[in-house]
Amino acid sequence: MRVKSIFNVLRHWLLQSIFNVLRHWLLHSPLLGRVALMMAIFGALFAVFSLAAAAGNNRAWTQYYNVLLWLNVGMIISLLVLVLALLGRLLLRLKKARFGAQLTLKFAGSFALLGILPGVLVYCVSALFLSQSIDSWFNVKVDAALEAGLELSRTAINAQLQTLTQKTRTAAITVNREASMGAESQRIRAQFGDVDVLFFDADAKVLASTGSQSSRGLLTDSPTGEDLKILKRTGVFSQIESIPNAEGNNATERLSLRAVVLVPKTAETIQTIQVAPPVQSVQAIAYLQLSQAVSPQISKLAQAVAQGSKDYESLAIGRTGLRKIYGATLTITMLLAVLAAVATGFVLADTMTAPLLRLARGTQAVAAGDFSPLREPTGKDDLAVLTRSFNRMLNELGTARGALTQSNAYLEQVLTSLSTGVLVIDAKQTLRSINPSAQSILGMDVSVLNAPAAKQLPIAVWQAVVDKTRQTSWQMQLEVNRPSGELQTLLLRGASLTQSDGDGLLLVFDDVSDVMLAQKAQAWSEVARRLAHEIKNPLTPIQLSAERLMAKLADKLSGTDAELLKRGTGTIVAQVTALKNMVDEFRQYARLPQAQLAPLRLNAVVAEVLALYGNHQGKITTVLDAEHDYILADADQLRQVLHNLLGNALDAASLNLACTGAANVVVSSQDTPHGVLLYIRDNGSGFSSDSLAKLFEPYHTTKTQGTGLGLAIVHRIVQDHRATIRVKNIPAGKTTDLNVDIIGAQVEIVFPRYAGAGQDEVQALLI
Amino acid sequence: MHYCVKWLSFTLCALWLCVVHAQTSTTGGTGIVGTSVRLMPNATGSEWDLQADFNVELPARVAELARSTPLYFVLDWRMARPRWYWRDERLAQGQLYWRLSHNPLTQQWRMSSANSAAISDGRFAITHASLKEALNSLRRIRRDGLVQSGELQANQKYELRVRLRLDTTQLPKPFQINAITNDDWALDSGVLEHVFVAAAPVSAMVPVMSK
Repeated sequence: MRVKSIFNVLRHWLLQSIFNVLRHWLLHSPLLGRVALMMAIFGALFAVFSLAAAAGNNRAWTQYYNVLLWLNVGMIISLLVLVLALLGRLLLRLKKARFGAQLTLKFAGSFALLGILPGVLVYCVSALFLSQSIDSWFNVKVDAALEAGLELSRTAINAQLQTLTQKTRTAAITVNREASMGAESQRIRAQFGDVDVLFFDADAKVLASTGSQSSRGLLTDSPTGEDLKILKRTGVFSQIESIPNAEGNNATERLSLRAVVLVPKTAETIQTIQVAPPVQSVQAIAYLQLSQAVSPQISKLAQAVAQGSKDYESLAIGRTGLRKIYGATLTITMLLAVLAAVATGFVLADTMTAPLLRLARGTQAVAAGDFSPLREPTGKDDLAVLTRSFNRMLNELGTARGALTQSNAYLEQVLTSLSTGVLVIDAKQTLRSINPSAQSILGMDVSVLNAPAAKQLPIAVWQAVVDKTRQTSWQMQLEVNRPSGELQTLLLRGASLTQSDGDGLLLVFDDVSDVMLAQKAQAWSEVARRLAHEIKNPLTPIQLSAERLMAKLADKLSGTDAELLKRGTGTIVAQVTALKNMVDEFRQYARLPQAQLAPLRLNAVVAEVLALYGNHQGKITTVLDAEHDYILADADQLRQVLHNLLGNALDAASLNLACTGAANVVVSSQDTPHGVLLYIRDNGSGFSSDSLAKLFEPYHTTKTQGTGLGLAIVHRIVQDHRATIRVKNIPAGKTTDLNVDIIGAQVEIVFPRYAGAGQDEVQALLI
Repeated sequence: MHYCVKWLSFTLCALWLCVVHAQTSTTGGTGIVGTSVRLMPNATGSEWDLQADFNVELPARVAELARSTPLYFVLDWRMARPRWYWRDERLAQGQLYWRLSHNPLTQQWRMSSANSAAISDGRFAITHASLKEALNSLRRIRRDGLVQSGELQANQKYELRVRLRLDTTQLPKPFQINAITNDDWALDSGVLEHVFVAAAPVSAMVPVMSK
């Protein structure tokens, strides 16, 4: 059972693979068409040749007629199989909806029709003509006429035979029984002219003979067998004989007559012979035979009639066969011609559609983006011209496309390297394109493309877009929150963009936060410089005047007046000093020198500054964890930063004692991937969100006695050091109440790590 | 594909049937039937003569045809010693030819015979009054001196094959195309075989099998 099932599986597999191979061959082999064409031509030639051979009277070819016939039938079958295979291939292609199959079918159908229709028409007419004409050759009249002619010939010859018999009888009577037979025969020949004379006895033994040279002695023999018996019984025997010529040609037989009569012993008995058939009793001394050639004229005519009759009869018997032969040959030729026409039609259709298919394939390739040119056919026909123009078109298309791609790439590059953000919103208000700068400014990535602009853009920007929809071109400055929470200032320009699917919007924007900050700082430092200059000048005279007043009047006044003066001048001097300090600070801010960067250890500077805050022992916690704390910095400015920040932190922490109970400031340095982090944290009340936004602006202060320059200076110094600064509130755990949860503020500065110099050098520079 | 295969098989079947039909239609009551074939020593014992007997009866259409066109008969004979290990050893082979013709004027039949294919109405023609009489000359066919008695080795097995047929290639064209006309002009006795063991010299052959 198992073996059987394996066998079945194997057989199935084998059949399947054979079928697949056949199918593949049928679909793709270019050989099929060529074979078809060759076979079509060969078949047609073969048919014509065999037809010619059959129609001719060539015996050699007639012998092989059957073989030819079967060969032709085989040819027809193979052509038929071929045509069916071609048809099957076409149908398969149609079923697969392969491009061009329809066209090929149309072509092939037309060609096949062109071949079949005339072929079948000619065949029908020929077949009709053939069957009717062959039948019309043979009819009863011709048959009867030929038979009559034959009978006529026989009658004419028989008449001569009668005459000869009569002559023989006469001669027999006149035979001289005493004379020798030889002499008698010569006498009889002389008497009757052109006859051969022969005497023989009852045993057919020749007794004497006389014959002409012309007869060549052919009839010198006596009758034998049956003829002799008849002669003996009746006494008379006559016969017509045909003698073939020496050449053996059947058509030129010689006809001769022979009459034999008994020569009785006695003359009386002759009478008896003439009246009635001789009886056995009649004694014969010999038999006399006269033979004579039929007259040449009659012989010739009679033989012509006989030959004609034979030919006609033979044809009449063979006419069915003849008709079938012609019919078969005609049918075979027709089938071969029609099949050859159909096969040729298929091949021609294939040949004609091939360039079109190539063009179509080329078009598809172009659609897919392949601009390689087609192979140009040789020749000067229309299709070649078409292919050439197609190639030219391809070339131009390819060039145009290349230029387009290049300019696109160029534009793309320009947009990419532009620091200005560019984005396009289409009529459906989706984001169409966004350049890298826009992405970084707005904190987006490429995934926002094709998303609704309203959801992706910052609310302020979208609001501006909506507000300005009516205008074709506009410009405005906006403050927008970064995703990190900081405010940034955007300079936004919009222009309507006319596109095929409606009006879109082109947005161009710059992050001008830094510019604004710089401008502000510049403006403030100018103000500070002038203010300092203007204020400082009168301050010294004021102070000097107050001190002089004090010096002059202190002795002259007494009591409460002196006390008042002392307090007044003291206040003036103190306030002027404070003012001077403030003015100095302003000048310092305005004339902040360029940072002189040098490698140093952050921790060392921090420790050194902290040493000055010894009286705040217990309030400051120091955690200097950074190990790689080499940075490039201006030590003086760094100290200033630390002083400012520590002062702020201590102020904030001590102001908030009511809440916390004990001031606590943490100064810490840590290693981070981005550089060395220094942070100062206090447990003060933190910043309001408004303050956070304007923290680094000059003259912004939360303190009652601050100039508002501390953090501004810090910011400038940090910027000069290429470090980054961040200020944030520290939320208190999980509490959600915004007013309560802030437990302090933290200022973080990240310095870029210095990696240039060796450690020794840095050590040497350390203070 | 299926249609194609079906159609092809159908056509092949039809063709095969045609061929088979054409072959089976040859077996009829009339025709040439071999009755016996022998090899006899001649009077002196120096040679062996062929004696083959046939019943020859022409079908009606052939007899009708014979009146208008000459018929040619051929006797093929072949003498061989079968060898199981190799091809048969051929001792002798040959053909005999007959020509049967009718003269419508004299209404006589003439049968002439020859040893070669270029047969004609020669001197060796015998005239017969009727067709039956003429065909009687094919009843007993003798061919003298088939082999010399010295050529046969004692106690060896020999095979004599004889076949009498109507030579259709000599017929007019329409009668040769029996493949499509369905007319049966091919008269053939088939191969008659005479197998014998050559005995000691001169004495008669002992037939082993004769069919």
